Amino acid sequence: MTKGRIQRATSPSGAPCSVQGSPSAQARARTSLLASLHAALRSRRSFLVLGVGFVLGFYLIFQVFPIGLTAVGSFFYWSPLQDRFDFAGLNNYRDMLADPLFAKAVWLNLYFTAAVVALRTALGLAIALAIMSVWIGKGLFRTIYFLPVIAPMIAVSLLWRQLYDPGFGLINVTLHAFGMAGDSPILWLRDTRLAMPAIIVMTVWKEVGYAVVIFLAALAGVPRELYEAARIDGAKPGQTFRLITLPMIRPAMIFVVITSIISYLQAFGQIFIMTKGGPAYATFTTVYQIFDEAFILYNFGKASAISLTLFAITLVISVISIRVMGGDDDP
Amino acid sequence: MTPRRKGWAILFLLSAGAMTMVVPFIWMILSAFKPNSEILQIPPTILPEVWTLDNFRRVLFEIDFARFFLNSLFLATLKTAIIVYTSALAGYLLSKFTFPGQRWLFYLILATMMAPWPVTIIAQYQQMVWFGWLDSYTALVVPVMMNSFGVFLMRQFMMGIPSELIDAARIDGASEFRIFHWIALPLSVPALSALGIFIFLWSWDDFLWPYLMISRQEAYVLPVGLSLLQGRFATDYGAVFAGMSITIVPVLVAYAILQRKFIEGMTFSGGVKG
Repeated sequence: MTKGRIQRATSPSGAPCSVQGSPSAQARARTSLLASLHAALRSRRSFLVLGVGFVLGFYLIFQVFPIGLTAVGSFFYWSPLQDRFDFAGLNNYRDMLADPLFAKAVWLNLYFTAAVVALRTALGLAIALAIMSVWIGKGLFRTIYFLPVIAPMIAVSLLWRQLYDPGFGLINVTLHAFGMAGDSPILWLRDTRLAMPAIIVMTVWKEVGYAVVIFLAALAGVPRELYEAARIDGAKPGQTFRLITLPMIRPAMIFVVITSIISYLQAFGQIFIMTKGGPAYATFTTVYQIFDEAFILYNFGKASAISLTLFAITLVISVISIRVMGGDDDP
Repeated sequence: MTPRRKGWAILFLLSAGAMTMVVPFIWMILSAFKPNSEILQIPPTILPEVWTLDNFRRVLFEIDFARFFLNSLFLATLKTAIIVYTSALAGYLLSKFTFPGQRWLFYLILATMMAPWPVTIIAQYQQMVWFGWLDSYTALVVPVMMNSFGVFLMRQFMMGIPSELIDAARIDGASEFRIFHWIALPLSVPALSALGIFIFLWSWDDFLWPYLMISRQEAYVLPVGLSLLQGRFATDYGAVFAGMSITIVPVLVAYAILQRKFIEGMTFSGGVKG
């Protein structure tokens, strides 16, 4: 019995304690039992084991296992509805490559990502520089440009669907009011040539403010003395921008570009709400194809194969962009 | 152009840009108070000619957005509380302790941030089928009970808490449990509140997972309810505008009150989850 062992351990004489032990010895034994129990619970070790056990358990069950299952499942005919999981070899990958929609979707994904990343970064920097240069309302401008960033994506996508409405949508109404509308209303989201640009514009509108705030913080961190020195040396504004501002904010630039690439390669909500991949697959990006294969056709094997390919594409593009942006360290 | 003119030109362009950021929201709110016939009217009105609350009545009680709103509020609050706590705990363990494999655990958490959502969501769906969690809120809460960005953020923040404070508490005989809750957590409040705002907004906006998991309409959250408006009720324009306003306006109001915290919360944590 634990109690006995503790008592024995604490008894200096080593004699076994019994019922007829002195009351003070009994009390001492009881306190030391409580103390050791308490000590076990509050020790660094048990706190660490419980805490790390929880974190590791969570990650193994809800992150590592699913990612592993996706990797394995890409080699299986896999459907959760029919409870099917049969070995398929490379057939899912073959299927994917043979599917004409796959190449189209990858291309659309790259086109969408490149356009949004470029516009968000360039406009974000331009707006941040403009805000730095004005003499009033700096804080107000920052607040307003950040407004769409905090608004929920699904609701904003639905709002833009209304803005693009050919009849009552504010965009066509405005064009009409300025006499810039043609004979027939522009069918933004129902025109195969305009649907993707329309979604790109909406995404940039929604998220440019994020880049603005990041660039504002970076610009505020550039030491004033550098600009002073450049002015005294007679540098032109273009030179100052190229030789001082750009190199000083490069970390912010890399951050904006990389996080944008990763998130826009997997953009989904605006496409789901605004066009559902249409019209005629004009906005059918890779993520939309994965959604379609997985949750419309319940073809989990092929969907997994495409997902892993997307992951690989994400990694390759991120590494290349880091190389390119970090590559000209000494001009 | 003289520098002065140039300054005015920049101010003008900035203001025009700011207008385009705000006008869609104003149009949304004003349209929500117009009857359907007035929304479609040509030429369009700016302010409603007839102010009506009927759109809100339909969307709140006939399409049940009142219920969706409460569901969203409940889930976002619960998820925020849980995730903020687990992030702080994991961040504390990773920054103030050393244990074997610590570095690898940290790399594992960072690596999951790189994986696009389709890589995990497909197998997670299968997992929920196996666990029998389909159509329950367990599926919406338990698999997202920890957030890698939250852990990363809290680890970085807690590295800045002086270890002497923690050691002093240990010498005074405080238990580890107590040290975490009474020293580490209170000192991390600035980071915790920013993280909380980020997680709350992310949960408020979370669409695909609840859309896949929940089929009972009374358990829908707001973004799933909005997809219903985009589908079945797409021609009830008044209801669509009212539904969007109900989803967006509370967030905008909270932003107006706490804007510095919002910007903080979003800029060190945004752009990670799709």
